Amino acid sequence: MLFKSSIWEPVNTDEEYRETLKRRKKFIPVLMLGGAASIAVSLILMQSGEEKEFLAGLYMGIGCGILGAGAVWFLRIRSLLKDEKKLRMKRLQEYDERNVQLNLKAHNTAGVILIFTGYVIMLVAGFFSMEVFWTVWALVMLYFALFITGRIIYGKVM
Amino acid sequence: MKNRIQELRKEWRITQSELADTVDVTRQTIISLENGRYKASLVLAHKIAQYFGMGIEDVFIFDLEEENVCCSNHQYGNP
Repeated sequence: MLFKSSIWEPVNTDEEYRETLKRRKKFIPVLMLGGAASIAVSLILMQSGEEKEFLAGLYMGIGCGILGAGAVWFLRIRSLLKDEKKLRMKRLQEYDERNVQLNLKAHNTAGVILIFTGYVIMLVAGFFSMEVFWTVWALVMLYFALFITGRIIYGKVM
Repeated sequence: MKNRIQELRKEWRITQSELADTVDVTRQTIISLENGRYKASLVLAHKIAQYFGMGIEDVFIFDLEEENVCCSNHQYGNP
């Protein structure tokens, strides 16, 4: 409920947007906890030998990235909550109907290209690595399962 | 769909930013509407028409041919 109202519900006034931002702020500790967990995993991997050095570096990078993004997100929300003008401008940018449509179209195009690329990778990977084949196959199937579920859910509410 | 937004805005001597601010959209949306690159939603069309104190059909011109509505004109009010 908290997640749904913070991400999807339309906002018509500055006051509603202020409440949405406050709700979004509550997700930041969860996000930062994820980042800290990633760094912890990285430290454990570092102690387990040289062969996992790459993975340790990857987890460290992701963890630091998440922590940094969380901090920036927090500061941005705090700055928006303090400044009425900035808050209004950000709300208009985020909920402007043309911007919303642009985002939907961009997501749609990216999704179609991604799934097409996935198909090609899946077909080619079958000759070289069955692990890659099954991984991509699972992703393609997951996409279609989510697509069909989305169609059914949105079909009921629209 | 054509519209009279630019014409009315100039008549009323208001800027794109002022109109955008009143109807809760960005200035870019007003620019796209005026250029005909973007079609307003029903809610936005209502807001813009209300701002100018007019009906939607006075601001947004629905072209039957352009929208591929060729037949059964009587359905749209023509006997």
